[in-house]
Amino acid sequence: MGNTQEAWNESGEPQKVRSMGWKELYLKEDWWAIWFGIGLMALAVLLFSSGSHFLSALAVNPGGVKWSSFDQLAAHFAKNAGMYVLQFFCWMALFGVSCRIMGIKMREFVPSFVFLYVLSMVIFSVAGWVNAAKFNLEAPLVALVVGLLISNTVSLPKWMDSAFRVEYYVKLGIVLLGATFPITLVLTAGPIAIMQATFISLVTCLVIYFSATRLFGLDRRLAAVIGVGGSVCGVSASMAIAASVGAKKDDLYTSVTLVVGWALVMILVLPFVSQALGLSAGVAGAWIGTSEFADAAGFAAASAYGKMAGHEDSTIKAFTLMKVIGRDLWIGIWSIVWALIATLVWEKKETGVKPNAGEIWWRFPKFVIGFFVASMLMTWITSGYATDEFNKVVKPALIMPLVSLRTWAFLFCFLSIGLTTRFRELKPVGWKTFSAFTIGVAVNVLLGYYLSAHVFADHWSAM
Amino acid sequence: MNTCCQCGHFVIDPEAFEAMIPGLNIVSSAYGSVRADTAYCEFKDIFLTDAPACTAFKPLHISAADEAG
Repeated sequence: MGNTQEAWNESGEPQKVRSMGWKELYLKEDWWAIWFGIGLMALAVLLFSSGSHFLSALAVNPGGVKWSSFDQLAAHFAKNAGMYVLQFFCWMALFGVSCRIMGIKMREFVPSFVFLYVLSMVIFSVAGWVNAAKFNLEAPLVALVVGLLISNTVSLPKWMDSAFRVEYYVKLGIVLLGATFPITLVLTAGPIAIMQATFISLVTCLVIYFSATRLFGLDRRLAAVIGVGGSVCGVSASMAIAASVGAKKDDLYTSVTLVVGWALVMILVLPFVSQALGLSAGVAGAWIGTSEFADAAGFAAASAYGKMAGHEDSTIKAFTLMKVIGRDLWIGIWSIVWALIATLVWEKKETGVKPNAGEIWWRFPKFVIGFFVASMLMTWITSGYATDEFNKVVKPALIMPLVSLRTWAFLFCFLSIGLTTRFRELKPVGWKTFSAFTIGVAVNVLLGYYLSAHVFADHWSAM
Repeated sequence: MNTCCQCGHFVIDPEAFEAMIPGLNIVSSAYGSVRADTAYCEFKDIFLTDAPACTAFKPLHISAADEAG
């Protein structure tokens, strides 16, 4: 199952070394997100075909109750208590088993996940209040703020991070999103998203890199690491190219601080700015997709604005096209390009591993494959239904339970962002590094706005 | 031939990787595909993937007595 690749020894001679290879099928959370996402979709189709409404009942969440008194909320929980207990055990089994196989300790994961689930229930309940929208109590924003307050005041033990798996939850959410995302939309709207995202990514990366090296005289490895962090997919991109350029620990640590800081600012600011500018749901989704670096943070912002605008589906779809399909796909290529630059333009000895085309595959964010597979399968399965029949029969019994499960996965993710963000742990960043990155952020946001709200406005508004 | 994977300076375990850089798990993960085999050398202070061992090679599971002696 393992794989080999060539590396240089200290004399510069190539030698074979080992890599994880196909063991990633059970050691990486991307693959687990695929197994569970596609598995849940298959279960939904099976139950739908047999006329069962079990999954609809199991996927219950208090976010849609629209309660106006605590008695109503209590009645909802009393009625669905059994299903909530069963749902909890299903989530616990799915995440627990997979996390155990990936090496996460169960004695830490179990109590932490209980805490996460109960807190998610409370946040869903707040968002399900009939007046929640009036006070902008959207579930993603409430989850983030509550998580931040807890992690920065109460001081939860560090071991609780075991169940605060931000990326795992967002990846599962994205695969489940694929099941509600027609592949025809990906094919028709995808090319513009890829074009827009690639252009902005390139410009932003170059702006950060050259600002850092030429304007502020910073080290080129640091410049490369924060350059991809601000232009491709945040810390994940920085981590992906860290080995390619032989970056130092502080370089990646710096990228964490910059990405997390700006990602949080944008989660809280972009939805309200979009609202103030009166952007349509699709345009705002595309803009958030080009402005946010990290998938999890971007989904929080897009989901919040979608709820504020009353068209969550459109915002999420535009965001997904732009961020997941337009930007995330290219991470392996970015890694190769930087490895080539480091070995051909800089010095060969500065990196340990020869540039290898296989990296494009091994560093590919595999959960995107799950998104495409889910999208294609569900489009094919539901293609025989007329629009009327789809809306009356298929949507409530097959699609909505998957949407509800996706909402749970995303809420676990948004809450985990807040719960893992301890400001005191972030590395202080020098003004030069901060300035170089911030120049890139400004270019990213402004260029993204211009392309989304002006150049391609018709395209995104029609989403 | 020894490689970095057999060296005590080489941090590749995802849990240790996340513990090494506080905040890494906020909007990223050491358990994700994009990290692939990226690891960290504590001796050289660089990120790298498995490579032929260098002169600083320190065998894994070295006993406390060996370390002291």
